[in-house]
Amino acid sequence: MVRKMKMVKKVATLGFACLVVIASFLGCMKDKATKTYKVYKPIVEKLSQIHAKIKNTQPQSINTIGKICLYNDYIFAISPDKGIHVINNKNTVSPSNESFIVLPGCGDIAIVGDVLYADCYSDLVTINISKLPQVEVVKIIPNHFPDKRSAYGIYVDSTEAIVGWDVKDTVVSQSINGENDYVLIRGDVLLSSNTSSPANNSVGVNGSMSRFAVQNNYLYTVSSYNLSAINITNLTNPIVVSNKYIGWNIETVYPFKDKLFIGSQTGMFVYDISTPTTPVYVTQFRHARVCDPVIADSNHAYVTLHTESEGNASNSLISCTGGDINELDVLDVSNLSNVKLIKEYNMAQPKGLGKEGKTLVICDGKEGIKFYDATDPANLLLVKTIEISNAYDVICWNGIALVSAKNGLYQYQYSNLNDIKFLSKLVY
Amino acid sequence: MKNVLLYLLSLIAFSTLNAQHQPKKIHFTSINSVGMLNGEIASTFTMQSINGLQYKKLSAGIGIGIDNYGYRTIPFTFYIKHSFLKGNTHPFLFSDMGVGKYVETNNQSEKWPYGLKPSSVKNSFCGEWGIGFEKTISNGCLFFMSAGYSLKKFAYTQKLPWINSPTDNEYRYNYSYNRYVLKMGVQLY
Repeated sequence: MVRKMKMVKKVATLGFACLVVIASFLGCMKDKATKTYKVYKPIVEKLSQIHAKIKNTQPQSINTIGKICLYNDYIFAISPDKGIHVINNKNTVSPSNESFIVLPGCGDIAIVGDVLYADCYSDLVTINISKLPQVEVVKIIPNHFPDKRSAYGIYVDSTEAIVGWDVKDTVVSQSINGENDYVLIRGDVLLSSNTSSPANNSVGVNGSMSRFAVQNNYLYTVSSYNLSAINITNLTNPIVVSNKYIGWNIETVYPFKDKLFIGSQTGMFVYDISTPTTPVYVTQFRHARVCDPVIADSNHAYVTLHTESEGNASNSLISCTGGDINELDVLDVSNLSNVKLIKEYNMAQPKGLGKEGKTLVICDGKEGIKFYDATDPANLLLVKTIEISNAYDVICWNGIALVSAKNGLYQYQYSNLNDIKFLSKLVY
Repeated sequence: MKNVLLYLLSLIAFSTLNAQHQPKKIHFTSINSVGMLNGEIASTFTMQSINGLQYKKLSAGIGIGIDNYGYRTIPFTFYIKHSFLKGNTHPFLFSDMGVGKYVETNNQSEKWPYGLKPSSVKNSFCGEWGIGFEKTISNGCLFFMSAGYSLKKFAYTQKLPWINSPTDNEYRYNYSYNRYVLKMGVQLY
């Protein structure tokens, strides 16, 4: 009995001691939470130093392709912010990567009569490519794209550019209850254009995502909010003749006859360029806040609306996350004072599109590339779907569809829509 | 949740049937408990079933349970317990360490920052250490109460699609939940 009492005492003492220890911990029993994210510091360089880097080099391995331009027997494929791959496409069955034009800050190009116009950060550069592979910068128009002087809320002087980012991991304490802390939100977004050649010069064909368009003797460029008309009568001495504010989130421009079809995140705008120096607003078609390349012919405009999915905005300047809308809208533009929606077609995640004759080709994200018989725009007939991983831009020209996709540059011959033939694939 | 509960109850029933016999030197044991986890943000219910072997005063086994504190997890642990003294009532020390696997709850979307489902949730460390008392209540059955410290780590990554940043746009969250735990239950052997 005594022994049992001793044991109970020992147990009680030990228990009490342990409870005291635990109780003493209670005051400091705080939960901890941290949030780790990256902090970016811009790397700024003088534009004069950047211009000095523009030159021709040996062909580079192709890692990422942005927008594309078809010019004579060549494909000019942009490696965003780095330069332009020059690909000889004389033999469409076996294109060859011939050279690379180092052009930092490049996102868009247009080519007329052996003269290449490109953005170089905020500047517009004019490059003579008549002696390829040799290239020569002949003119620079400074600060033509002032919106490119800023990125992620950081602005630089007109003589400078943000060329990269120093990245550091940062750890901060986080509310243990997971309270929301809101951060900056930004939101952006490719065709074969119906261009008319200035004088007798040949004009490069751009994809539907292009911000550059050539019509008659004028180069039209869109920034995120401006439409500029540039007289290129003298190809090597372009002169800006007008700059017009046309609204925010402008993404693409497509020329057709005396009209410019401009794609923005909130709608399609039509400008009349009968007087080339002064584009005049004609009409618009509004839609939800999504990315929307647009192409047009005499009576119809084709607009693909897509929402940029997570982690898939690599080819866009801004991401489109305004809604879950993925469709093709066909509009009747025969009477521009009364633009009518003819039909909406559901798509997976449509991006670039091109049209030649009765053939409409749409890059539909992960579903691949779709060929339609567009004889009746109100009743498009899907002829064939070719599974290409994340196709995003297409140029339709002379019965050949040039498709840029995540894993390569493809060419298909569609002159006989019922017998679409694979021509080549340039693997990145 | 329902499935986990059913599984735990089945495990307890199975253990009970298998444990009601005269113990051998090394024998099967099953420790089943319910309790409370108390910390800075909540007091939540927890339960656990540990099944393993007992040798004299040493018990060890593999545990499975439910931890509702913060983000719900199912802890898979290795448990070890040592009893002291002799007689019907005696103290013990225990250590329980393993990995907590995240389980989604019905109102989970409200808990994620921005209401955004994470791109990945990491299975993270969890552990408990403490003391207790156990009392023999019948042949092959001990009743016990215990108290101790409980640590649960929890980590996940969110990709924020609306933020346009020069490289990725990920937020990585790491949580350390420090709680004290009170449990009661039975050990069958």
